Amino acid sequence: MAPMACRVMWCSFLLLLTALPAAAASTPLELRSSTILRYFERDVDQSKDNQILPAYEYLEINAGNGEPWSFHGYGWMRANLGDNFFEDETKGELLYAYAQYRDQGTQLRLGRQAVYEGVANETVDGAWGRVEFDSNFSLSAYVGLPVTVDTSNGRQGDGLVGGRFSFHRLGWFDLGLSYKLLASESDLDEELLGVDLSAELPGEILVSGLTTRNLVSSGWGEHSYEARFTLGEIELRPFFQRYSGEDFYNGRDNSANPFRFYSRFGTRTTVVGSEAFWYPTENYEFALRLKHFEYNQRFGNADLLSGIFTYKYRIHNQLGLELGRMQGDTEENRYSLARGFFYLDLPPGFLSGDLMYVGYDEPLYGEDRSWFISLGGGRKFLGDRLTLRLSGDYSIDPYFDHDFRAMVVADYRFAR
Amino acid sequence: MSKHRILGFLALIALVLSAVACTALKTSYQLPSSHPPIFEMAEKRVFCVRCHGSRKDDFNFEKYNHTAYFTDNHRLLVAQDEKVCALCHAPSFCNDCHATRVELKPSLRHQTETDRRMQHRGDYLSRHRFDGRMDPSSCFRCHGNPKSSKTCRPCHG
Repeated sequence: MAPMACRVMWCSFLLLLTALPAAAASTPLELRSSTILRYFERDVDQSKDNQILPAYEYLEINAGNGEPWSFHGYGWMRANLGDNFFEDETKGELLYAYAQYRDQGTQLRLGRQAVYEGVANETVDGAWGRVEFDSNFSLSAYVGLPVTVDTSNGRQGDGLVGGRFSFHRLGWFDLGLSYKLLASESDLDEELLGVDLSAELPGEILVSGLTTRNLVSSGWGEHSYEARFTLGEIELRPFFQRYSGEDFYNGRDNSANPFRFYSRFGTRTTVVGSEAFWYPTENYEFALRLKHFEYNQRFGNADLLSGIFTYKYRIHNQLGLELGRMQGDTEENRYSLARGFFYLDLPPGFLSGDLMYVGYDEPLYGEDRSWFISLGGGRKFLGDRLTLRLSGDYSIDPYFDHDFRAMVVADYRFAR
Repeated sequence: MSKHRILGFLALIALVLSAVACTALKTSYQLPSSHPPIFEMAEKRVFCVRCHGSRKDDFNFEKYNHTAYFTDNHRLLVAQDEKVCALCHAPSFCNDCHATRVELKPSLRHQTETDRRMQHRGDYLSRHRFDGRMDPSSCFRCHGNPKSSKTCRPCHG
């Protein structure tokens, strides 16, 4: 988005933020502010160990929650304190700002919003709506300007349109047909058709999946399917995914490097495996994952084995250990990972941290391992309305010899 | 028409007929617009069945259990049931990861929430090359457009 347009959006958002409480004193209102101050060091050009100090403000407003009409907004801004490390970067982004109407069977939104509907995972400046015809059929549709594509370099007239039709019965099945079209004045960039399904089968087996058809390249982009069932005390989730590079990735204007590369050369990726979960008591949780990767070009196959053990105490307290091994056909695709983590809930405060070690079979930039440690803590004030957090992390890895970063966060919530 | 196509077509008809038959059965359960606020539920990894039980005849709460790998594999649920996510999570919760331009990666934005196992934790700058080689689709879903790929472009062009 052009800087001027970004400023206008932000000003509108801030105007609404200040005007809404006065305009509707009885409207439920929730404001959330998160102020973040970071510190880290970076080498920039010939200058070493520059101290970088960016400050972020995340602002969220929800007005009219639970009522037919409501307004929701969320965005972030950054200011550089005493350095210009981010000089060429975005200084803020309005993530969403939309008005919503909602009743028993209808939902409408107008403004900037995220849309997740079958094949769509988009942010759009426009309109979205869903209608439940009865308990078995629903239709959702959206239209507007895609936020992900800049209007620059001669590209203009972007438009995004799509929707999803669903045939379902709550708790039994959901069969959806979705469509998305993204085009500019001069080009058709993306046209996808998707079928998604979830169904309960006899034996308490749940299957779900998604298949997408790329109508521009006339090929199947993705097949992702999984099942969930229990075997005694163990819950299993086998899955299968296949991606066709030419039809899943996009080599057009609305894509980006390095993914344009994958849309050529007939690449195909298959991922197959399973997750398993075992909960012997309320306090203990074991999780295991095996993933087999097949890539038809260059890198060969690989297997990822990962396990996580978590001890929980009174819901929020957690102590965990994760171990993982990526075993590729070639040495460059092999590493081992170990991570320990904890979160201690000590009302009104908390402590958290983790320690991670990764060993690479083939050294990266001459380093064959990395270490990462983080520690944090915080406390609530003003009856939970204000939370202050302090955290820091330190890492030694192939990219940074010694990297120390610190962060102070103040979260404030106002609700009426 | 090939034998496989005929079998596929028959399977699809059987599926649709079964679904139509199922709709004749009445269900009393209606999804509410939001979940009552409990603790810091929307900020923590919770198991729905702990309160709702494991009965699946009205609504399958089990599939929404936030397991240790839930951060990696909730995609299929969202593609169909974004409104179920919205019961507990404000859109901002999702937008901390799924957004057009997020300068602070989620593992930094929520650095103290070590129990959420966010993907970019620790040495991920080094490890992302393994995912990029073996399963680039996992990168593409979030970084596949011009704005969200801004973090990729300084190195990948």
